Amino acid sequence: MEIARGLAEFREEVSEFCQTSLPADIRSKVLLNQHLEKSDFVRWMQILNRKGWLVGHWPVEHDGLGWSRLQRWVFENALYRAGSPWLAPFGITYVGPVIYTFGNEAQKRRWLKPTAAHDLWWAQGYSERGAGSDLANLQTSAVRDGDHYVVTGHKIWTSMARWADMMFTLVRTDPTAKPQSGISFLLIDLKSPGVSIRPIRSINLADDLNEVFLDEVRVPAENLVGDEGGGWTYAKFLLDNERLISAEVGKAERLMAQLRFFLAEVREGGAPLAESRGWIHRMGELELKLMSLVSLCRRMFGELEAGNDPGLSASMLKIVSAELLQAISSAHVDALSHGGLSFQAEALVAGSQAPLVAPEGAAGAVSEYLFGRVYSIWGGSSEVQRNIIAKAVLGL
Amino acid sequence: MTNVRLDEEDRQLFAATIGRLSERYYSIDRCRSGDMECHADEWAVFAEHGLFGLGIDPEHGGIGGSAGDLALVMGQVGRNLLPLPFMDTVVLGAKIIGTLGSEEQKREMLPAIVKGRLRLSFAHREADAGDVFDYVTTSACSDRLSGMKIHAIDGPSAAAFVVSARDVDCRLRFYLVARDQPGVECQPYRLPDNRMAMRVTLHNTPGVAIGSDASPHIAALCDLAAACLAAEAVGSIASLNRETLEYAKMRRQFGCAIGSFQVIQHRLVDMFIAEQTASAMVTDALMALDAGLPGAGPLVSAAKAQADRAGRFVGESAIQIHGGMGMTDECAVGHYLKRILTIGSQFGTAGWHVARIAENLAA
Repeated sequence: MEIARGLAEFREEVSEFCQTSLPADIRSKVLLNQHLEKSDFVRWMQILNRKGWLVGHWPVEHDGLGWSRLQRWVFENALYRAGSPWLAPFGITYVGPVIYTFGNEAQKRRWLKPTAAHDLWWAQGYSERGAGSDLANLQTSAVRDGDHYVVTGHKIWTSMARWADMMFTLVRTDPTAKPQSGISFLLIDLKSPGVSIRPIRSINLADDLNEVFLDEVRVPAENLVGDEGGGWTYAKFLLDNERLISAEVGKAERLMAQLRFFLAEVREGGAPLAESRGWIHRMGELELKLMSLVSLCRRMFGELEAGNDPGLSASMLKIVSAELLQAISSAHVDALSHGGLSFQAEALVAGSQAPLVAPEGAAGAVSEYLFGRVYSIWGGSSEVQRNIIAKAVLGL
Repeated sequence: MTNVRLDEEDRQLFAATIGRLSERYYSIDRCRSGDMECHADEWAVFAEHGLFGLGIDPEHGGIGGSAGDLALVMGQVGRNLLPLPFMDTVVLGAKIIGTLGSEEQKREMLPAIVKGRLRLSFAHREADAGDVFDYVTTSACSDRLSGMKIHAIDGPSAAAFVVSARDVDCRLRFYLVARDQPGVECQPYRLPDNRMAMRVTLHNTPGVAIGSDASPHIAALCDLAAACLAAEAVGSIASLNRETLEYAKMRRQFGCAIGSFQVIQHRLVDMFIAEQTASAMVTDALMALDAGLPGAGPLVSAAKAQADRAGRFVGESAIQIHGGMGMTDECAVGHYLKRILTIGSQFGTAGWHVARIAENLAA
């Protein structure tokens, strides 16, 4: 109980900090789901870094605060509830922990400080055209040539790669070994000759996803993290961390608040939808889903504190969270549909003067519904997560 | 609109013609380009093939046909994501003129519709109406109209809007309002599927009344439109299922086609069942409309609700099965889902239609 009270106070502290320190222009973009610039992300993450919180979950010896996973979860959800942008996790949650857990001393000295301060933007070079759910099938090759690796291949779905300085990349160093054991974890400077990046337009008309082409890119061998051929272990460690931050309760709460706003704004026969019995009931159903995710998170993070395997809990949280966020987004679309669904994409740019024909934030909500399809696809699809649980938990 | 269906041979001939034209005018690049306006030359091609005579009496240059025949075209519109505003001019415009218009209006306008010379935009819905189809606050005083309409489709190419308004006796009536005249303010905006709609504001704008009280006809008109939209949605669902099934057979992961995994198979089967169910319900609704059955309303509501819900389920599942590819603008499935979203917000949301079914049970 003592711990819980401490966390409640901490959550208050984070909320208050957001009130005073989250720049209003950034917050407004998030609440309306408008396009964020790289500088928006970086500005806010560096404010959090100065407060000491950005890598609060890192160990104290690497300038972290040694937070538990539960505290990190409380922290992120307090942020997202308050309209914080997504904390780009590629450095602070993905590669940083891989480096301090599996990297050598030189790598820790070189990469951890700029990663913690978010002076470096990392990209995640995992998926390939033939290696999505079946990640171990990746074919990007790295051939040792003196004190370099020569990397050739093609990565896809690389979020925000055009903003990135570095890409942590899964490469195949041994084509003869079994798929999982021929993989290595390599840090590639995206300014190297032979790297080219092509944006992919997604269904919500954003260009955040990219293809990264690697054509005989020379990468210093010192950028190999851990053992050659040990990449799969580090990749899975990273994916567990990715899935653990997928329980986006704070974002769900923010989207619920937005839904209440739409229900007050959209009218049916002159009366707000919020007064309709059908919608009152539906809000109850969504709240129930939200409450069930919160309880599940408390239980899972509690078990983590007790030292149980995070991978299995993470799979469950990712499934439930994706379904919750998608259910709320569907309700956004349904509510807006009563007033005639539009998609004024120009309203996704902050400061747009386009006259709106729908409630403020409507275009952002349609965009979120469309983009939100990805929650049950990325980081291992919901089908793959269910396979993991079936095998590892239920013993099927 | 007549109530007699074309005979089966004519229907098949029509279906083949529409199918051929649709393939010629369907392109995913067009859907992506943002240019989903139906150009004058495209409209003319569909007119030349006699499509716009459907539902119009032979004495006015049409070929007759019923709701079921109009829905045949709408199914192809959905199947091929055509930018063809068939609904606005032929289904709604011709129906209103044919039902309510004076003999002179019919003689003048129906043949022009058949020949592709008159395009109309339906300006009925209002911002606060929601799904309540007879919620109209636009006023008509001495045939001058004031008020605001939303979701008027094909506005830029249409010569006139068909506007609903309440006259001084509070009767619901339709008026023809020429687009290019003072007192008409148009604000175009984009729909999720890249078609354009308009918000039309009228400031004491002159209009020509189409007949008198439209109240007795408005429910039937909206039922016809809802059934046709449901047919369009079923067309899109069929394309989604075809594309997704092909992809599941072709896409390999873990050394085999993803269609060999049971979880994918079951999802594809559920998508197939959703399509078959929605399609069957649309067929029943159209039969009831064509037969003029008194209980057609709830059948139309059931068809529209089922088609919208099946569409969402199939569209979302299609993206899920396509994985990352499904998230891209390049891939067709997202465009079908966007068409389904757009359909779902017109002529009654699924939620509204389900409420109508419930009210009918209680009555």
